[in-house]
This record gives sequence, structure tokens and C-alpha cells, in this order.
Amino acid sequence: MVRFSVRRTAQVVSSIARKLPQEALRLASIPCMSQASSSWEICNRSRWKVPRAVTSLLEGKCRCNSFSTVPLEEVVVVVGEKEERIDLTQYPPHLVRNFSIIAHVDHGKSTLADRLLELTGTIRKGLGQPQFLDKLQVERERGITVKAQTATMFYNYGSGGIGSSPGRFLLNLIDTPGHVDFSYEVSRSLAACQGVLLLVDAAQGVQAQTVANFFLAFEADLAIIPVINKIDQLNADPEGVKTQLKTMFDIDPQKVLLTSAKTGQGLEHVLPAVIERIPHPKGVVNAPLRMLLLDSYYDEYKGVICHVAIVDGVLKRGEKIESAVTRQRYDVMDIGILYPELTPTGILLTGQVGYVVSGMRSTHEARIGDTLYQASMVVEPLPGFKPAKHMVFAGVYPADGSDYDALCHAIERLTCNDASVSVTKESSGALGIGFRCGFLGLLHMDVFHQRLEQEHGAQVITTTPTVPYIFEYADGSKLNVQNPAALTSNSGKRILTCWEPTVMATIITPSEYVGSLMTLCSERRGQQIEYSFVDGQRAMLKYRLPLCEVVIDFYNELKSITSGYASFDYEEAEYQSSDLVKLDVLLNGQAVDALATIVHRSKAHRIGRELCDKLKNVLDRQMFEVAIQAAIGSKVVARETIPAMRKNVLAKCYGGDVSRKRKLLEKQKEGKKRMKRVGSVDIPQEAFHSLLKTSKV
Amino acid sequence: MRSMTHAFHSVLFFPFSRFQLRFLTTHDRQIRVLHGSLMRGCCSMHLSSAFSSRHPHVTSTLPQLTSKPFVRSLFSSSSSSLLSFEVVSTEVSSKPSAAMSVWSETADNDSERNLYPISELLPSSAYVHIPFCRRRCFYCDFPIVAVGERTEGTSTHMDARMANYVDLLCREIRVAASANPSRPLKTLFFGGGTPSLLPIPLLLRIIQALDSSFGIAAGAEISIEMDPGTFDVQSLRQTLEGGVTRVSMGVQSFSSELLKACGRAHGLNEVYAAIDAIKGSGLKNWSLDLISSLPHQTLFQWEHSLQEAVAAGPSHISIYDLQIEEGTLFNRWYKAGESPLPSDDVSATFYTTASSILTNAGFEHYEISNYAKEGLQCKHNLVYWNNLPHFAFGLGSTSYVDHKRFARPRKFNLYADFVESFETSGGQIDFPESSLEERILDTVMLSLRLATGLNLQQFKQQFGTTVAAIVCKALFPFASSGYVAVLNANKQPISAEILLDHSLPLAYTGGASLAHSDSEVAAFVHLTDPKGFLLSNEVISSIFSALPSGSSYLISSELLQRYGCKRDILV
Repeated sequence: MVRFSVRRTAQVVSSIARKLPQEALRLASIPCMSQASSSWEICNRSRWKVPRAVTSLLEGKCRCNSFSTVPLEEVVVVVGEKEERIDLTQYPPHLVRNFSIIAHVDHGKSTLADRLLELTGTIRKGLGQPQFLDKLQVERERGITVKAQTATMFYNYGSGGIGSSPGRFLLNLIDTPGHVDFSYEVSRSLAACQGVLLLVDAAQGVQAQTVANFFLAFEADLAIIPVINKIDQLNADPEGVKTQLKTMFDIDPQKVLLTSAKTGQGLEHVLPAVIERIPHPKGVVNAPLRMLLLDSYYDEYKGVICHVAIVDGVLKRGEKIESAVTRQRYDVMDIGILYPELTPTGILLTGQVGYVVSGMRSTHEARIGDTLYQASMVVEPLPGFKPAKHMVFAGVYPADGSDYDALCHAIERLTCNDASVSVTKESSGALGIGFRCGFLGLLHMDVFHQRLEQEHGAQVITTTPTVPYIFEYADGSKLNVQNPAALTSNSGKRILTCWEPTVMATIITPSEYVGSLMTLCSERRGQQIEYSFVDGQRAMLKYRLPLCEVVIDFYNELKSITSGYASFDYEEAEYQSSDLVKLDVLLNGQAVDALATIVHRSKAHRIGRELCDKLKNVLDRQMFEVAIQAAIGSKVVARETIPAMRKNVLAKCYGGDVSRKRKLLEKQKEGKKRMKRVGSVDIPQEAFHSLLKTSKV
Repeated sequence: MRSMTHAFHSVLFFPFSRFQLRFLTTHDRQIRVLHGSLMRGCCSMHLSSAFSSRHPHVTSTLPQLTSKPFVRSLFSSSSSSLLSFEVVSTEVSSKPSAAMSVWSETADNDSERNLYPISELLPSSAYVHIPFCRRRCFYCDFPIVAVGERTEGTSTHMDARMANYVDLLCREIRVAASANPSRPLKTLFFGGGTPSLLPIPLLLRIIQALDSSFGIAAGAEISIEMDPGTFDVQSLRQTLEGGVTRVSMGVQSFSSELLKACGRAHGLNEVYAAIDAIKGSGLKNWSLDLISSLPHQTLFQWEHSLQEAVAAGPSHISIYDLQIEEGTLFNRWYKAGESPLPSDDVSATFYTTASSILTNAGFEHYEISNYAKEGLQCKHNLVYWNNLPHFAFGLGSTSYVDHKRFARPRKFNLYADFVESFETSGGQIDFPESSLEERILDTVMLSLRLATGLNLQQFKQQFGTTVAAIVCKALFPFASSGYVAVLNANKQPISAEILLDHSLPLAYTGGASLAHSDSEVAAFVHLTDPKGFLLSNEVISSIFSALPSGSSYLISSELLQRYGCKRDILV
């Protein structure tokens, strides 16, 4: 429901009377002072919101409930839902199914989700963008899902199969990201489900994430419906995949559904299977309200929007709720379902999944996994989930030091939507003031970077990522190192043990690549845990690997060794003690804090040489000779020299040349302005980027 | 004054007292700025009435003229009887805008030294572009027309084409002269292309046109570029009789392979023949061009070229380090600094070799790429490097008149169209003036090309102490590492540290600074030879990046303080 006001002119009033035709799109909105419970305030930044409301009005998606004139030459228009109110009370738990789709990346989750939404008439076929639930620009560009999304569907189940009577069912589909970095989003989504569709590509078969996700669902005790997708492909081998499912997961081949989300083949069996095989939510209708906070994001116009699953009881608009973690109380201003846009219903009942707008100011108040309940009631909090674990840390700095405020603002807004990033302020001698951000993985970091640039127009330099180490000193103190620069080489304290995080990696590969993958893993200081065969052609390797060896470049290397045929997934494992040293990079004797790294002692020389060599190629010649050194403490392990610049002159300059020469020099000046200065040496921004890009450890 | 009622809307130009005075007014928003500044010196009404009573004709022209100038004035005067202000206009539709305006009620001698007589700002130089060449050299991106060799068959056609072009030139010259106040020309330069391809009668027609339109001052420097193989002693004599006083010969190299490698239309024999012709003509004031860092060039070849150049006995030598320009064949074939072009280090050695050989041979290295015997510097080029105004005529040429740096079209047809519309508009060029920022950058960039360097005192007067202080500060690291030398008013070298004192604007308020005696005040800064010259881009671009950019000049607090006015009036 949108309430907006526009300046009153004779033309506008008549336009509104005719349901606001296109001319009204140009009108700017004015802040609407009053704030009714079912409307939200439109501030003057929201120019685009009005056109959107008007557009949906014109398309008949909603209707103009009222319009009235108020003083100050304004017209207030209240645009609301079409009167087709959804009555959720008709859907008691036994008519509700919450499920999710899990699969290896690119096995077609988002496409299948689209088809199901179309099949139930939730979205109209051929309208809107494909991969409906991938809303972020970065998701569309990269063809990946980053944020879990939820959609509610209504489905008329007719056949009355085993255990279910015909009727209209409410289905909640929770789409999940496929990439390993976002696996915590998967486990979060699963907490709201009673079952999953395990999607496997008919040609590629079971892949590493299929395994990982299967066990996530299996351990959560969810009903699993195996679906083999893409059976229309030429090289599809559904029978072979069935065998794999049988041997690996002990799945009955009879129960496997065959579909092609692309052609629509077999889709008609999916939803009946969901209703028949997935149990309904087990909540207690009459118990006091308990709901699980699944996700939250920040909407510029409504504030924080929380996705919740009602476990027990009923939630109504206007009620007061309380958070089990923060003990903060909120008014439920708006609730509804995601159909698939926010659709107010005024009520959510046991077992249902929907959204709540409650006047939270930032997503930091909305702790994922929190239990929300009726204010001043005493309830047992729900189990919740493990908090997201930050695997990779990197410095994020404004490309131009003066843009710090802009970056600060951009990060604040982005973290409102992506609470899985941890942000702390830090400063660097080379890069000025910036932030140390913790990410779930490298892809997450990349996505964050891209979203900063695309959605918030920030120009940033990201430093080489590092994993969190723990240094234990002889005096018993411990230091958590998220930034190598924070580790001083001569703190006066003797280091007793260094701990580095490790992961348990699962690799599924055609068997001919096993040899080279084993070499790769041992180069990366891996320790073999398991080696088995999935079927005649494919092997599964399990390795324990130091996280730092995995985050940088491991995946690319793995793909190139196996021509893209191997799949890879990892889960966090415990810390292990390791012989780690801090490798400093010095320019003319001055350490560049932003380039410091922590490496295993056995690799320090090689990495040092590579770093120096790379730097030599990206640094411009300066007015003086520059020595590039890599050092462990005071011991230099590698050195390169850049000779002094000898010539930088525009030979000829006659009358007609003046403007052109000036422009050339101004261009050179722009380059200078982007330089970061360490001591007397200028480092181009590109240097940081290229070191990051090609880092091979 | 009648115009007070509807404010001023014009740019006027009329003689006043000993100075020519340009009085500028603006839209009524900005006029308060002017009034504000004027009233601090004397009384605005006083000013107005003085104008209207003595120059009644002025007011009558007011209503016809409209302009939307952007006022940025540098108001620097102390005595109550004297005002001087500079007004910059970026957008003028009717008349050329004011540059430096001077108003003096009493014009007493004491105060005059602070002022620029307007006549110095009028152009007295002209460049004439003769675009014809026999062929295009492989490194050349100039606006030229390749006409091929002159043969029996092509001669008539070529003559007609050149005559046609000279017609256009003469038309442009006449219109420009009628539309702009000027002085007799002191320097004139025929560049190209290959001006020596032009038949002598046509050349004389151009000189004639310039003389009748602007006048040519007695003793003016008239230079012409000539290429080996396009003249003999006979034709050179005729050229000199026509008034030309200086020849610049494009030899480029004394190696026949290199001449071939860069696509020159002449060989080594023609070069020596041309040198003999010049010697035969008795001309003393002539220049020879060489290009260094040609593909496959060796240090040995380069030294040989330099020695031959010195032996030829010119009074002036230009050494150009090869620049790979976009759109040239060289750009397609080579990459700067990579084989077969010499590496940067080798090019730098070429440069220092040239500097030492030529300096030892009695040439003064007076500009980054120019060397001259004493007193025989190219006066015309000095006009460019001192950022002084100049006319320009012909295809692709750039003039700098009324602070407008205007480049003519580089295509023949478009140039003809330009001359057409130039005539119809009565000599108006609809082009923005260089902004204050651009003028500061140009001044820095051009003056640092010269061995004399940047005159800090003059720079400060022109652009204010804040800007000068920033430049001093940016120069300091280069001065302390020997790329830049600092001189006092007597041209004696002084310590680089002085620049740091100057970088504090408040401590450096005038020529007679409080803290320093004259000998301890930095008056000039220049790049050292050859070390500083070789890295001139680095030094200049460092200054550029230290200077504020864009509109920040408009609202510099210094200016605001001077005018005691609010920010919104200025912007």
C-alpha cells in the first residue's frame, strides 16, 4: 500500500481522477507527514516510488483506494491492494508446506523456482525478468544467487494422493544460494523448511555441493525429494544419476522425479510430490507466539523488513513483539506474505512464512536466528543458528582518500542489506582510513565489492584478503589477527604457537584427474582424509586444507587442472598449529602495511620473490631508484630494483600544441592524484588490484 | 549615468588617458561584486560619472550589447585614487570581453608601475599555416595536405590549389584585422607543412596582406620553415628579398637510413645542398631541426647528426625527441620506449648528449628542445612560451586572442566554411575564453619550458599569493633534489628552502617581504639542464596536481576576503 502526495494543480487533480495517467509520473512527491499504520512515509528522496505506485495502479495491480485534498496544495492518494484479500486463516498448518530447493551451483535452482511460480500463477509467464528471485544486479550479471529469497504460492491440489486430501495449499518456496561462500544462507533457509527438493543436473550428476547440501538437509531431518533436472539435454544420463543417488545417499530410484525446468517436462509432478512427501509444519496453533527470524533487509521506504517463520501461535498486525536476544520491543506495523512481492495480509498463522515490518531502524537489530514472541510473554527461545563465520578479511579503502565519508555511507547502507559482512574501522599508512571487512569467502568479497561500486557508486581499493589467524604468546596472551599489519614482528613477546583455520574440502572429480588434484592439494599443505569412488568414472576426495591456501586461487587452479570437470565444496574445520611468519613488503626500506601478508615459513621465500617481481611490473619508475624488498622481520628474503625515471618530457610545444599538451599533463596529474604514497614512493591503485587479482600462493 | 537604471550589460572598449581602458559590467547579480570592489577603492558613483561625463558616447552603445560574463576579478590596488581590476568573462556574445582593465583617475606616475598597459596584451605576432607537403612523414600528425612532387603535369593544378588556399588566408587575415585591435606585427612565422613549397609570389601576397591589415613593425622577425629539396639559393634570395628574416630548416637527421625510415621526402644530398644554399644566400639567422630517438637510432648516429648540425653553422638548433602521435604510421608500427625505438634510458642519453655537444659549441639551451646562439632565439616561439597572445591563420592553426585559444578546423573544406562564417560574423569567434585555471596551468607549463623559468613575482601578481604559494610548495621537493633551481631577483641561485617560506601565503605578501631581504626572495624558478628538463612532465604535472581544480578558484577565500562579499554573489 502506498500513500503519496503530489502538488495540487487543476491538471493533477483531474489526472488522479482518471487514475493518474502517465503525466503524473513526472510529479515529485512531497513528504507525507502523517503516518498511518498501513502506509509508510514517503520522503522526498523517493521520487521513483511514486511512479512505481502509479504504474502498478495503471496496470491494475492495485487500485486507488482514496484520494483527498489537504491544505498546502497537496493531494493525498492512497493506493492499495486490489480487494482480492488473501485470507490466511483458511490455511491451517496441514495445508501449508515450507520447502527449499538445494543443488550444486548452476544445476538450475532459480529456473525451477521460476517455473513453479509460473505454474501456480504467482508470476505470469513471460512477464518480468527470468530468475525472478535473483533481484540484485550482481546476481543477474553473474548468474548466481546471493541472497536467499522467499515466495509464497497457492496451489490447488486435486489428485488426493497418499495422506493428503485435495484442497488449496499454501506453499512457501525458499530459494537458496548455491555457492559455497553462501552455504550458511542455505542452512538458515533450511531451518524454516520441512523438506527440500534436491536438484541434480542430469548430465553433471552429483557434485560436491550436492553432497554438502544433502547432508545439511539430512542432518536437519528434512524430507528430501530428489529431482533430476535438465533431462532434455543431449548428454543427459538420468539413470546414471539415479545410480549415484542410490550409492551415495541411499535414495530409492523409484522416488526420483525427472524434470526439465527449461521445457516444462515433468514439472507437474513436483508440487504434488511436495504436498504428499513433505510433512506440514509441526507448530502448535494455540501456543503463545514464537517465530524465527530468517532474514532481514533494509528497504529505503519501509525500514527493516524481516522474513519470519511462525513456529507457534498467531501474529496479527498491531501486536507488540519482543526479541529474545535484544529484549527490544516493536510494534508490528505491517505483516504479510511474499507473493512474491510484499503482500499485506494483516495476519500470519502457525507454520506460515512471511514478512514483518516493525520499525526496526537497522538490520543490526534484526539478528538472524533470533526468536520473536509476543511482548511480555515468557517463551522458550528457538534453537537459532550458528552465526555466520567470517572466513576472509580484507581492507576496503576509498580509492580517493577524500571519499571516505562517501564510502562510509555506502558500506553502512550495504551492510544494512548484507548483515553477513563484519565491518570495523582501520587505518593504513599507505591507504589512509578505511575498513576491515570480514567476508564469508572470496566470492562474497567480490560480490560485496561489486555491489559497493554498482549500487552505491563507491570507488574502492580492496587489499589482499587474509584469513583470521591466532597467535599465542609465551606470556599466555592471544592475538587474533585479521589484518597482517596488526602483527608486529618485534613485540618483545615470544610467539609460542600460531594457529591457522582449516577447512574440510570435498572434491568430486573424474578419476583421471585424481593424480594432479592430489599434487595440488599437497602443494597447498593439504592432508588427505578420504579417497573413494562415486561411480566407475568419478572419485571423491576429502582433504583437510589450511583456509588461506583455499581462499586464494585454489578454485581456479582446480578448475583449470580438471578442465572444469571437478566440483569443490568445503566446510569449516578446526584451527591447526602451523609455522607462520609475517612477510613485509618494503619500498625503499619503508614497510607498506597494506601489502603485508602472513604465510607459511616454507613458502615465504617463494612468495616474497613473486610479490617483488609483480610489484616491479606494476610500479612506475619514480624520480629515484626504488628498492622493493620482501622481509621476514629484519631478514630480507627477496629484492628487486626499479631504476630511476630518466625521461618524461614533451619535446615540442608550439602555439597550436598548448591546449593539447596541457591536457596530456592534466591526464598525468589525474594519474598522480590516484596514487597512494608510502614514504616517498608513489604506488598506483592498480598495483593493489593486480596483486590481488593474480595472487598465487 | 543613464545606464545605471538598467545596469550595465556590456563590454566596452575605449581610450582613456594614457591607457586604453576596457570597462566591463555584468548582469545585475555580479555587478554588486564590482561595485563592492570599486567602493573599497573609491566611489562607484564617482567612477560612473567620470565615465559618462568624459565619454558620453559610451552610454549610447550600452543597450545594444549584451553579455553574460562570469566575473572573477583580481582587485589589487592600494591608493584611493587608483583602481585596477581584472575581469574575466567566459561567455560574451557581442564583443570581445575585457581582459585586464585599468582605471586611473589621476594616472600619477607612482602608481603606474603596478599596472599593465593594455597595449602589451594586444597581439603582435602571427602564425601562418602553409599545409602543403610533398608527402606525409611517418611520424607526422599535423594538418597537412600531401601534394606530391611538382612535375609538368601537376604544376598547374598545384598552383591553382595553393592560390585558392592563399585567397582564403588573405580573407581570414583581413577580417581578423578589422575585428581585433592590434599592433604592428613584431613576429611572423610561416609554418607547415612545407611553406617553402609555396610559390614565392603567393608567399609575398600573404606578407602583403598582413602588412596592409596589421602592419609589420620595423625589424620584425619573419620566419619560414623550409625543407631540403624545395629551394635553391636563387629562390631563397627571392624569399629573403620579400621580407623573410629567418629560416628554419627541417633536416631531422644526418643519416640517410634514418631519413628514409621516417619517410622524409628528401635525402642526405639535398640536406647538404640546402645548407650550401643558405650559406650562399648570406643568411645568418637560421635554424636547423633534428629529431632524436628515431627507430634503430644509435648513439653513434646521433652524435654524428649533432656534429654535422653544428658544422653547418646555424644560429639556432631545435632538437625534438620523437613523440609517437596517434593516427601516424609510427603509432601503428612502434611503441614508445620499446625496440626498435630506443629505450627511455637511451633517449635520455640522446638528450643529455645533445645538451652537452651543443652547449660546448656555443649554443644556449634556452628551451627544452631549443638551442640558440646568443641573441638569436626564436622570438616568435618565445611568444608562445611566454603565453602571450598571437594571431593564427590557416588550416588547423591555433590563435590566442582575447584569452580564447581557438583551433581552426584541420580539414580543408571545414576551414573554407570557417573563413566564410568568420567573414559573415564580422570576425567573431564563438568560443569560450580560457578559464582562470587553464591560464594558470598554461603559464606554469609554458614558462617552465624556458631556461629563464617561471617569474614568481609576476605570477603572484597575476594569480594571487595563494596560487603562487601552492606552486612554491609543490616545487620544493624538486628543488631540493636538483631538478629545479631557485634564483633571486638578481638571478643568483639561492637555497631551495626559500620556497618553503614562500609556501606560506601570509608570510609572503609582497616583493618587499617582511622577513627577507631582496636577495633572499625567490624571484625565478627554472628546470635544470638537462636533469630537470628531461623530467619536465613529472615536475609540471606535480604542480598541476597540487593546484586546486575547477570552480574552487572562483570561491577562493582570498578573493572573497578581498571583496568582502558573500559566496553566493560570486558564484
